[in-house]
Amino acid sequence: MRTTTRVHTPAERVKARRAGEIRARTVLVQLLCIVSVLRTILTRIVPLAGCSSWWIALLCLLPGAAVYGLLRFAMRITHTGTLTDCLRRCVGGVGGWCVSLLLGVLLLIDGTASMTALITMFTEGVGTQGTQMTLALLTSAVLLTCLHREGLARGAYLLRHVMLGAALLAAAFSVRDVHPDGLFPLMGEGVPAIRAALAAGVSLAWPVVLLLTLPADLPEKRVRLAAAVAAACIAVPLALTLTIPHELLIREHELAGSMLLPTLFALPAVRTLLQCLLMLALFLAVGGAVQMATDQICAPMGQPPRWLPYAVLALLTASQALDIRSLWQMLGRAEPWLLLPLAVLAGMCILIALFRREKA
Amino acid sequence: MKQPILPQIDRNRAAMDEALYRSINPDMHVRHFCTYGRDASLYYMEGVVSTDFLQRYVLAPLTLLRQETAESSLADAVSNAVYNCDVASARDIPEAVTQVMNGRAVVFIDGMDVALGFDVRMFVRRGISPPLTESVVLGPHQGFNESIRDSITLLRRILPTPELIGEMRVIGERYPVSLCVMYLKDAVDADNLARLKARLDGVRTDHVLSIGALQQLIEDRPFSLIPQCILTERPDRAASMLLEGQIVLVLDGAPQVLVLPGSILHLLHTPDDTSARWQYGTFMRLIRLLGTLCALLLPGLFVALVTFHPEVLPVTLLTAILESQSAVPLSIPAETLLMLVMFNLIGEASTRVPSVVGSTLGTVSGLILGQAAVDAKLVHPLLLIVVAVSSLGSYAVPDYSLGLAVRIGQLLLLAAGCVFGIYGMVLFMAAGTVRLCALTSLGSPFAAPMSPLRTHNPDELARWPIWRQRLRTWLAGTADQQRADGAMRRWDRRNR
Amino acid sequence: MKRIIVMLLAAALCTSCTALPAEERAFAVALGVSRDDGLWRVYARIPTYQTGGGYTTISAEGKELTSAMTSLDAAAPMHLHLDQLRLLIFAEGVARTIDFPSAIAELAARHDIRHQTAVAVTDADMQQLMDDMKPATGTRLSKSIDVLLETRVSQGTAPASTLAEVIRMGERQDAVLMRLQHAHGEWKVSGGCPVGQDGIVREVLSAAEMQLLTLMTGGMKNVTLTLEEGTVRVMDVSADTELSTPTMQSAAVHITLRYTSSSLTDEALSRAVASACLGVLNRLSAANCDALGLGRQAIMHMKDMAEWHELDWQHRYPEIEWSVSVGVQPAA
Repeated sequence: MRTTTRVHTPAERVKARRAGEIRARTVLVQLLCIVSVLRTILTRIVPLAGCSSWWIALLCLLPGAAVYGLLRFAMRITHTGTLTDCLRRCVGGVGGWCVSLLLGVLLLIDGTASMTALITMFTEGVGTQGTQMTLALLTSAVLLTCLHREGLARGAYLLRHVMLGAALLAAAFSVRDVHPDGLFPLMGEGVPAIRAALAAGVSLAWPVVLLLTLPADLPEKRVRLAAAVAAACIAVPLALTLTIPHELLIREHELAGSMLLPTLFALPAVRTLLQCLLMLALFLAVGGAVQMATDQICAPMGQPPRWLPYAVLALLTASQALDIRSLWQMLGRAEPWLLLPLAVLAGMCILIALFRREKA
Repeated sequence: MKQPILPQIDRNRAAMDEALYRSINPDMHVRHFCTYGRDASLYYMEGVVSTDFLQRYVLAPLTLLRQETAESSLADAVSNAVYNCDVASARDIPEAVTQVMNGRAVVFIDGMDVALGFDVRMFVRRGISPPLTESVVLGPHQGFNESIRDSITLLRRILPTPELIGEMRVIGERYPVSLCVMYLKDAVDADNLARLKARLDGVRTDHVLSIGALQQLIEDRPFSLIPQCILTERPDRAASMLLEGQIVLVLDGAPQVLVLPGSILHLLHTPDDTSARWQYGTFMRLIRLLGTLCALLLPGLFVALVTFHPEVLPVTLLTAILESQSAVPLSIPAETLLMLVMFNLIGEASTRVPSVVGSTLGTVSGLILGQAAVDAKLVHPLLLIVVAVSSLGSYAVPDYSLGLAVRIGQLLLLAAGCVFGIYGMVLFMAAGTVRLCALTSLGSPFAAPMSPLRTHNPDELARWPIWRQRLRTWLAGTADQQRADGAMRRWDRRNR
Repeated sequence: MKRIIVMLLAAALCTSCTALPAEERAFAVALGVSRDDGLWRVYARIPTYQTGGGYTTISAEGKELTSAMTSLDAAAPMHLHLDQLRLLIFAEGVARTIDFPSAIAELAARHDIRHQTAVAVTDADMQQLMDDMKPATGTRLSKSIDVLLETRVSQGTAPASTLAEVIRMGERQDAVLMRLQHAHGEWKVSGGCPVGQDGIVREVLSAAEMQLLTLMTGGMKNVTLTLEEGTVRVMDVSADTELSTPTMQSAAVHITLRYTSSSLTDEALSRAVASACLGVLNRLSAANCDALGLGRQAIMHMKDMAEWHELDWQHRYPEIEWSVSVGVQPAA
């Protein structure tokens, strides 16, 4: 409750307004990070690792954190505020365009995965009648109304308390079913399964890199956001393992079943609440991915053309024309590699920046 | 090209007679007389001037006016003779016609190339009465009326400061009407003001009949369900918005004023919240918010739960619903839609019905939609309660336009709930929230200060104490955003 | 905008997301499963939706449980739903066979079954039992069942065994199911049926024994406990089970009991309770039912699931030596 603000100049007023917009955008990025991380944990790591998924998720965060750290270091030594600026300084305009395109492609893949998860939840989890494609069309039609430049970020910012409240409410109802032995055995299915889970989740934390595309005015915000993402991706698998034993966790290998795992034994009202929460989060994440992908792809051009977000959304919708199981398998093969180009980029940046510094 | 006023009075008379359609318009009067040794003519419109004032303080002194010296000026002599009222000059015939239409008595004198319009207006108008659509328990009971002058006066009485600027203009190209743009010079944001003026300049219509029509001509998103401007009948509310840096538009002939820019919170707040103590204000707001949510969600939620998610309902309730539903010929969605339409019909009818038969309407609607419908097994008793509670909730919305928007949204959510259950409602609400956040009012985000965050007073959903509301809002363009220098309750060491 | 609306409408029509009217669904309150002559028989108690209440029993049979359930869906006058199921009753004849765990799993896998359904076992005639299921008070059988089960669970004479708990125990603990009895046109819940680690019921616990088991889990408050030697009014209990590690050859149950009145001295009470509890534990061991969840403690010392399976808990558990220590104190 700030009551001592004193804003003097129009420039300061504009800065204060911009801070509000940046907050909204960071919440959207945060939501996208959390949804992406939780989706990967639920659908890739938990079916393999079972009760050891919580610490495997922690380990899988490390590569992403390392890449984030390297990129941050590169930005510091090049004295730039955002990732795109850093690449531009290191490699020129082409570099900036490349990183924007790369992030756009990664976001498209993530958006496709979120949309697939959302549609599958509808068709198989909830049991809605209707084909995959018609439900995808319907979801896209609703999303079309949301693809306003600032509306989605502001909407996510407004709904953040609602989503957090719903999650806490659901957690409160699940507390009575907690059994500490759910965390054991610590190694779960053993070393081969752990290896497979680590391989599946190695790029778990790639969305954290998106935080580096935000303006650098608020560096402490990035740390807080990253911490929130890490907390969410530990808390959920931990809560799962404490309430559902390992033998049941590794049984769910289908996409819908994995996504709806947190709702398995919940009370009917809590289950409906959790399903709504998951759907809302996935819906906003798909919209966020589309919007951010558009912004990244058009970053060198400045303002993206009006038709581009709709074209990107159409592409995502068209992906649902593929058989859902094959689509999910394809995504499963692609997801572990998402961090690699970013790691290469980070290495390249650091080397170029250090070389230039030495030369200077 | 505008026809200028000529020194030859005969030509001016002919032009005025033609412009006023005197041959077929019996309301347009002319009085020919002599003044200052010259022929003169006085044009006025019957019904809008005070004939007594006109005779005593305009015609009489002018008729008695004589040229004192050869050097004395006619215009000065006329101004000195008629000192009881305001004088405005017109340089062309259309301007003179406008003055006559606006209630002035326009005098043409032979040899003068200007016409003089004397303010002798006395319109028939309604007195100051309590607002019809914004009643409060605590607070003033004065409302604007159709006279622009009275409305401006009411605002000036609340804010007696020269910083309160009232820029007069006309709107409507063919049949212009007066419009006053009011703002506090030291509070308004210059960019907002410039934007509004540009929009007003860009309005191309023959006439603006009402303030609602003006709203539709200047609002950001005319296709949006939610209004982006605030219409208010209350001078105190308009004054509080002026203090926050907003701009008030007063239209002649409209008993409401239009306020821009606004936010969704302005549509949900009432003056009662501020007048009452903070605990009561917060409580009333929460009740109102609950009512709004009930209005939006309850019918759709009921249908969605019973039809798609019966497992969520307690089985005893579910069995009771199904037992009584088994005797009803309609399905639950159809029944709910029917009931909502009926309630909206009653609402609309009670607004239009003359007060003498209002009680009859209440009896009839109570009979039709109450016990008789339930006994005839046309509707379900629990559904009646659900629809009644949601209708009450929609009437708790303070803003009339927003209340209508809520009622339409209720039907849309009902459709979403009927077709897709709770999941459809969730997606619809998510999309609706995003659309709400994307709305702007004169370029300012409509969901501010909640989203995006703006510096604000602790006066969003909960109304914190007045002495904590130290800032002008995010809409103000002042350099100094503090309303008070230091503590407001300086005498109190604990609660500052 | 018009295009969006058209697309929405078109998609909405294509999805054919029309819901079944609520009054065309039969929400089963109780479901019974039995097996005779190799045929599975299923029974469902459904409301008739007449004003003032009323229930009817429908039944079907099939060679497999799945086909029996399909036939039941077909036999129901409306669409059968298990979202509001209160009681899932298995005949003792099914519970004592190897088909029992798969029957439970099959029913639990139905997407619409209510996981908070209480699971019970009965030796009564299922048709008769179902027909005699009427609301004890009021007109709602579901409420009647809920109240009855809650009362028995709070008294400790019946276990709180829901479908979710039974499944969620996994390999770490074994459930004790409720025992339903039926006589003279009335049915009652009394006692428990411990489920072995292989998923089969082999024993039946009486109401008194069930109370002792509840005592050992610490879930007893303000209940009168009847022992052979006398009675005691228990105010509250705290209990702790400890498995000896790493040998896992013995286990100790420590009970601290506060009572408001007792017909025995403290020492005698302590001895009586310990002896009675030990009797129950030995019966559970014989039935291979890990009701106290020693498996949960055992698994915490395992490195991975392979080691857990190597431990062969199913055969190790019956060999465990039990000891019970009871501390009693009168309530202040």
